Amino acid sequence: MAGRGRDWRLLGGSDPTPGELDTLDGIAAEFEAYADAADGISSELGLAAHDVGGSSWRGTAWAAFLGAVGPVPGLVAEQSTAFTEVAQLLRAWALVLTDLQTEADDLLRQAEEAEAAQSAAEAQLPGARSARSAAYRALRHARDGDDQRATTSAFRNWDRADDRVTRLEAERDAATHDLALLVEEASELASTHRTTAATYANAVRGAALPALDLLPFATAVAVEALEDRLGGTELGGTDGVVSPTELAAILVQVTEEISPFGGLEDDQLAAYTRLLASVAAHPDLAGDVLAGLGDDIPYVLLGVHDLGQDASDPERYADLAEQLIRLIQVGSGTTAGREALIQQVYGLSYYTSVVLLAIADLDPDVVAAAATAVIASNWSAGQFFWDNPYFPALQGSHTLVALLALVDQPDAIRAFFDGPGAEDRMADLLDLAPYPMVDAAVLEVLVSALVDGTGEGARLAGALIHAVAEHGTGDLDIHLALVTLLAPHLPDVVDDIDDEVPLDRDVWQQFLNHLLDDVPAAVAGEIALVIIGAAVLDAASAEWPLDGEYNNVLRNEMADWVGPLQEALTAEALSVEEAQAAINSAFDQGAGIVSTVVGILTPDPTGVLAKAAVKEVTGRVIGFVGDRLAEAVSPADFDVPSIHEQASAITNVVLEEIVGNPEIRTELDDRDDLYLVPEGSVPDGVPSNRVVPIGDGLVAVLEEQFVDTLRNDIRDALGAGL
Amino acid sequence: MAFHIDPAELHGLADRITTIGSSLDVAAPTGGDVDGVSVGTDDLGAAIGEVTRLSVDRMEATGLYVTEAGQYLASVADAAEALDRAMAGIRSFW
Repeated sequence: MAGRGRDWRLLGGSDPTPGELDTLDGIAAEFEAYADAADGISSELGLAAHDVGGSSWRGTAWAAFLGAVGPVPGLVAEQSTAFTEVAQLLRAWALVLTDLQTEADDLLRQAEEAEAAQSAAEAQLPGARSARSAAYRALRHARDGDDQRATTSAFRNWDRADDRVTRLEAERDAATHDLALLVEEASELASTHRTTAATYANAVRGAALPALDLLPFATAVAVEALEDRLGGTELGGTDGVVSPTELAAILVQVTEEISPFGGLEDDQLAAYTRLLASVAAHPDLAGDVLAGLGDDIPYVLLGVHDLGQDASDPERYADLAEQLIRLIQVGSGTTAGREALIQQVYGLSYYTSVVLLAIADLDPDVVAAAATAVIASNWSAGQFFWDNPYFPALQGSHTLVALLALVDQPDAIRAFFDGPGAEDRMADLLDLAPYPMVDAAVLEVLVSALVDGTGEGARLAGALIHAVAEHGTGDLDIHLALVTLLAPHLPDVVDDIDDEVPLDRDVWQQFLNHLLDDVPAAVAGEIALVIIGAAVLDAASAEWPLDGEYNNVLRNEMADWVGPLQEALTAEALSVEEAQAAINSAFDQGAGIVSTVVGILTPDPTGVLAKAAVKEVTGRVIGFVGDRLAEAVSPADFDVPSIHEQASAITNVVLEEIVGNPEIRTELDDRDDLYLVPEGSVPDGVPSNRVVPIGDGLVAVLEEQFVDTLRNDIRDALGAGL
Repeated sequence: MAFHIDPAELHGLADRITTIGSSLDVAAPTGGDVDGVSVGTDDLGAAIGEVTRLSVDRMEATGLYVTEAGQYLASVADAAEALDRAMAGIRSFW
């Protein structure tokens, strides 16, 4: 293969010492040019800084400016040195490479000579061998003629011919051997090339200077000004420039100087305030500084809080407090700042979290994390703040501050309830101690979550129902409000049977019972009305037509538990016991029809039919409740069908569902439980309850034994349920 | 005020420093995109690329910093100019 314009196949295929000297020279020259340019820039900047120093400008800012510019010519000069070092390394490598390539070229030349010798020998060998054969034949001929002279002469000729063949073969073998040695030498040369190049590569990498983490210039000036004000401190940074981490250390250092009684002189205070303002003007820097502060975040935050609390003249520190708070607020919007703050929320005191929550417009994730910590703790519910001019939001109890911080930000509420922990968050909210305004604030949070726009009303309603079912409604007097909030979501929640945590009968029963725990009778009546209103809503949205016979069955089922509830409502006096009895009846007895259908259909191959049946039957049940109550009809007016009639009605509905499901229909067909025929071709004698139209002019004819078995199962289930 | 600040002088210095900052914002040397075989090995090519990119990043950061320094100085000059105008107004009033 070609390399540097040569064919290296004789030496193993490729150039053992690749590299273009011209390219290396060009790159080295470029680095040298950059080095010269950097030197020039360093000098120009040094002169410019010198001229600023000698200008008419004087004062603190002048000194700080010079301090901030001062290290830069040195930084540029360092870069020039690095460029030069790289250029020198590349030139040194080029020299080494020249020698290696000379050696490689020499090997190639020798290989070409060896190959030429080999080829020449190979070319002559056929003729030599022919000549030797001819000489041998002549020798035999002479021997046969018994001519001694002729025989001697023929022998000499044969001997010379044989010598020539032997010599040519020896020359060919020697050339082949030489070629093998040359290939080996080329391989060793390639190895040397690689090893040496790696050495230079490491040296080139070593010449690189670490990345600069320069502050924004105005911030650097502020640091210089602060250093000028705080004598004896070392704020300059380890490499002449201050990094965000070092800046964070400065903040801690200065915070130590702050005391409620004023440890900083006016000019020091002004410089510190200016530094904070400068950092807060750059969100990324503010985030990095927060990350640099890490475990010192509470120290700095609470330092300013204590100033507002205890300083004899809080107004003196107002600007400083404002800028520090702004730094935290701005920094929280960056990844680094957000992570640093959240880590502190989970790692340190709830008190810190509460003070943090008093900062407006914090990142929603930070608010959610801090609120979670404060609300879950609940221990601080009775803790109150003194008025603090720097944190006007610190009003009322700790938990109230957390709740109001959530209320201020819908995104924070979304983050607060995000993910599978929503039920725990709901339980934490309901479990809060009822200090003034806490219940109102909890409701505001729930309104925002369930109504105002998280877009997850149904999911969060489900979480709230689970929380109430498992933990009760807590001490807050918000039972009726909870139901009012939940009512619009109840139909959706009932329908969401695919949820990871489905709302089964036990959960519903526990939820409704807990809602009625310890509430006055009037409130219980209101709660029942709201729930029934939700049922009416769901019934209104039902699209399936009600079958007359099926409807009668449902009426009969519902009569058992609607009666007490309806009577109590009509009398406008529903006791807790009565309401709970009605609900228990609904789940233990009346809704037996639901469980029966589900029990029959659950074994179907996909489960789709069972889910559809649950949805439909549930919708019809609660729709029926709404209709009956609206009409104020007594249960005594309902026709009560026999169990046999109920079983037949349900069987007809179930058969339609089964045959209407293609997967189940196929399976029944495979098991010979049904067969398909065109309409009009149903065999004589088949009763209509075994024939189900499936569209496209076809009907399914079900086997008698299958239908009887299904009907008997349903009848047994109904009998057991009633 | 012990010294009178000359806005024109500071503006001139600000322009100089801003120009220096711009000159630091260099284009990457061709070493940043070099073919390994042309310099010897891929490893060496990568090393040259790394040092080039780091150097350029560093130069750019420095250039930004110096440009900001020029802008800072220009704002000081602007303030001095405004102060001059205000003082001239006061003097003419009296």
